[in-house]
Amino acid sequence: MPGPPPPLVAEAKLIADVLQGDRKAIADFIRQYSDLIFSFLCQRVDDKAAIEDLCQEVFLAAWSQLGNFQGNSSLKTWLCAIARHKAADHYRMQLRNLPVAEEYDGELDSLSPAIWIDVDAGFDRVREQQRIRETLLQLPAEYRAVLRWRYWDEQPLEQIAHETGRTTKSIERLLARARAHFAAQWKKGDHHAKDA
Amino acid sequence: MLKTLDSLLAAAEQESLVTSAPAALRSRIYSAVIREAQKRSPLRPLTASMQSGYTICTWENLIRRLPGGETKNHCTLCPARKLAEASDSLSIPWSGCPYREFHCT
Repeated sequence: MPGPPPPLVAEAKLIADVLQGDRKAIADFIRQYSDLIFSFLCQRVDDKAAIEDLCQEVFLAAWSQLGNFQGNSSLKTWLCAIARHKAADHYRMQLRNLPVAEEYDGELDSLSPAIWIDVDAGFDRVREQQRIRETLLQLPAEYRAVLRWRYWDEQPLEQIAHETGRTTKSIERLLARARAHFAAQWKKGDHHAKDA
Repeated sequence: MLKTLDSLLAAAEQESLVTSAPAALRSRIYSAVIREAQKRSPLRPLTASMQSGYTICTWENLIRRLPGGETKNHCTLCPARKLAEASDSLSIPWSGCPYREFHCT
């Protein structure tokens, strides 16, 4: 009895069926990849309604562009690239809403070479990630956006500046301030943990 | 243990946790994609779907026998769709229903 088809064959069949408008294949497509995309967006966006809207947008965009999928990467990678673009749209909105005065409040922030963070040696990866998420949630939305955009999507400062219509210098200041706030919040969390 | 902020944040993304997409969200996405697919061209006939190895639901199996029933989106008339789009915990009795699958996995 033949076993299940190899993953790439199964993926190719799924894509072909989706492109033919097969509703069952479309359902399989969503079932197989929705957790991946939802998780990806949960890492980057904090508002539940926004995550759900973006997730739907990712699948609609994927469906409409699937005919152009060349198979040069896995479908997962390709979908994550679409999700990354959608998350970037969200960051862009958050940074565009930032009042210009907020950027230039007289401080001369710039990116220092390194900020050191004291991480509990007993932390495993999951705990560490949870702590990072908790710390990010203490920051203003624009700080979270710029940190995620820069570090998780590895966007160069120039690109962030270009996409938000700001100068590279102003994004550098914003990022420096976000980093400083992150470090301060992390430290505050350490004190709370010690006090508890 | 000291880590640079840069390395701490960069590594956090790579270790992303898997969060299950809510069933109601999956259902809404499915309905939206099917709507868009229908705008572009007729849906694949249900018989072709079955021949390709997929299972169709009881409701679709009944209605596909009607004139034009093969390519229509029968889910628009099905109460299970509305319920599935609104609730994350739902039990849909008939097998082969995509909305049921979203709520089971």
